[in-house]
Amino acid sequence: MRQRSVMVVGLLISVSMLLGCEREQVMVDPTPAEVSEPEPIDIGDQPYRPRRRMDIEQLDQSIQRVTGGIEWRSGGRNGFSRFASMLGVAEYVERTVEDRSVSVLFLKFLNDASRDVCERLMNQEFDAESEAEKVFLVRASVEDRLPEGQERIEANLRYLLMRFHGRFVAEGSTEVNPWSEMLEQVAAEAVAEDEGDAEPDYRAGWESVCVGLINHPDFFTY
Amino acid sequence: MRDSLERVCWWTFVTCITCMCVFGSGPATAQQDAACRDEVPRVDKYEFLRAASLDLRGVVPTIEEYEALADLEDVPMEWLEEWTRGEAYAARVVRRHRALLWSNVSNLRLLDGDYGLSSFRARPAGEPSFDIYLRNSGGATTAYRGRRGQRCDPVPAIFDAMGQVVCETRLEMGVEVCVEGYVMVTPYWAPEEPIAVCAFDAQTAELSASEIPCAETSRAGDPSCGCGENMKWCSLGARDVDLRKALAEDVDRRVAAHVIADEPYYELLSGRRAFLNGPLQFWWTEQAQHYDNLPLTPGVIDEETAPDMDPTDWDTWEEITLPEHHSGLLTSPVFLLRFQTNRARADRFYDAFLCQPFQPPAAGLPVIDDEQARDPDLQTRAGCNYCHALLEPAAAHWGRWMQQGGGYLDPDVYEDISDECRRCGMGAFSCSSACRQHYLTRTYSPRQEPYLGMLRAYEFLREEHYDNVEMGPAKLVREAVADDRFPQCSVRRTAEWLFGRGLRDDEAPWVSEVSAEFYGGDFRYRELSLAVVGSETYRRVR
Repeated sequence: MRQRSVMVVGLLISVSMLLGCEREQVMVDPTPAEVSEPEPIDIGDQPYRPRRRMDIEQLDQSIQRVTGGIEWRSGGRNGFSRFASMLGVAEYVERTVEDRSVSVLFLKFLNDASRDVCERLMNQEFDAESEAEKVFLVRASVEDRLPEGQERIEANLRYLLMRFHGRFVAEGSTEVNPWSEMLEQVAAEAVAEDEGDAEPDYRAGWESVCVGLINHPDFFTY
Repeated sequence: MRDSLERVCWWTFVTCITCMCVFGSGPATAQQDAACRDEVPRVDKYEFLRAASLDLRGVVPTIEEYEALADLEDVPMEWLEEWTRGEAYAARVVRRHRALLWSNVSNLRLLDGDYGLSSFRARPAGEPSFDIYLRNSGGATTAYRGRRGQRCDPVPAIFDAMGQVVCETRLEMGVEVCVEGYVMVTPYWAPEEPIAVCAFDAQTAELSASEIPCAETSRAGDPSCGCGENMKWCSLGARDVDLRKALAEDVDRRVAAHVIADEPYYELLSGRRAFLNGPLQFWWTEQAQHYDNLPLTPGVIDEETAPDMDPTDWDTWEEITLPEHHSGLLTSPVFLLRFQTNRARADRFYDAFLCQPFQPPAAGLPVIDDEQARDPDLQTRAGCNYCHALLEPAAAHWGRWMQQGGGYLDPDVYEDISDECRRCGMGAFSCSSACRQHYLTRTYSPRQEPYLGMLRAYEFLREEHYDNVEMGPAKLVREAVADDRFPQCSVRRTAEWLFGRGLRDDEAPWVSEVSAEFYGGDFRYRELSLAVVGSETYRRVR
């Protein structure tokens, strides 16, 4: 009960802080005066670089790398090329600076991209005839279930966190817990909605893990 | 279900705090600042590998690369060095230079609309239908047949004993027209597929009836001139789009070749390497001279030494050496067309490569009176002189390159002072288009009169800057290398690219230090990138 109260208070504080920022961000200047001289930012005593969002080329290439070569397809072509203009890619005639903000529109397209590639990746993984063809379910198999297959599933999640986020997670770390919970919950809920008392749908679970990994800031920022 | 909600609350809270520290662009409170600034974490070896890979190769590392790192203390610099020798790194540098040079001319037209082709469907009775091509400009159809938009007849053309096209005179919509038939032609863009072309449009004469070369733009409305041998002066619409892309690709290839060859960085702006594919070579030799709205000849490529290439092959590229008057990317067709005035060219160079953007002072420009406003010399006019005292002599480096175009004004043809242009400017006779375009032939102030008949670049130019015109942008580059502005700015721009932020004043000593290494290392861009990625600042991320 106490923990829940702390969370609610925390949420309220964060929302009020965001609203505070929001008020200051409403100003819009359609003709920025200094496109070539980025404003220095306060970096304190220890110079650092700010964490950045990938540019669209990096994102496109990286999604293909982590999925073993599956690109986002939309309307019969590469989705990132198709929506380049809306994604803020500079074409140097009308836009000379690439927009690399984590905007709502960016997150919407990233979500579209992740759902497209992850669905096809799961088709590939679940239809694979040999283990060598797999890039996602490498440490676990399509038959593994929680809780009995916990060890193998967690090993696979650690592998995925390295593959997608470049994040080393030690064996036994609780960092995999949110991911295994998501896998289990989505697998259970996916089948509950469709078929009542049938087996949990781990294909849907792993697909949501894939979507979550791509939509996570640890994937699209560095 | 309740657990799920709690999780959502917790993750929302964590995400909000993270986003405010990481991406927050709004003004933070003092407490937030302090909280976010307490410690700047140094990323671990895996995160460093990932960031370096994204910046130097444009993609995350492979799982094998991560696994190979497991037993190592840190990312070996040899890995990064190896990456900077690959094509993926070259592609990143190409991308970076697109952002510096804005190399896109997709909003221009390279081919003359008067020589554009369209087609109509001929449906002869009892025979298969087919397309007949013709020049679609109103001027051409009127010149050939007497009425705007008049097509030829879908019958084979007839020729007289002299080989001239015979046309049939008749009334069309109340206008007397003379309509010919069609001929079969092998077009340069598809030599294996002959097409039907209206006979007037398909004429191959090199000289008009009045003995003027049909290749000249002035013959666009001459009924005795057509599209030339194999339709060489005419084109289909999509070709223009592809040619513009090819011109931009030439720049990309120059940057990539420069990086792969690991040449001194300044040579990118002063060298003579360029690339051609077949359609570009064909365009330069047969078509570029047609379009006098966008003059690009002479002098951009050496037509005599240009390789003989297949005009249908877009994918085969050959490296060529440009004539001596070129200065790398600063005289590339794309740069000259993207920045069509000499001031714009100098401005882009000063901003991108010298870190000296021409901007008014923060306090604004002074209010000037009428007398000051009438000063025709921007180098001295109050307010304007803040930028133009420097910009005018800088722009003069492009003084021998056409504005609103890209042709080279060869000193052997275009002297600094033209007696003909001076006399025509004084009203002795009407001025030629060369005088009007490239020389001062009209004055609006007595202070301009001494410059009458001089190449436009010399107007108000001080004598000590005359060399700028004659020696071109390469002189500008040489001077900027020698006085350290170019190396310092190269470091600054590269750091801004890889750090993702502007540099602070107190980082100037670091810039100078890396700049000295860049200078000592013979200006290798590859090593400069490694110096920035290998710095402590790059390893600290927030």
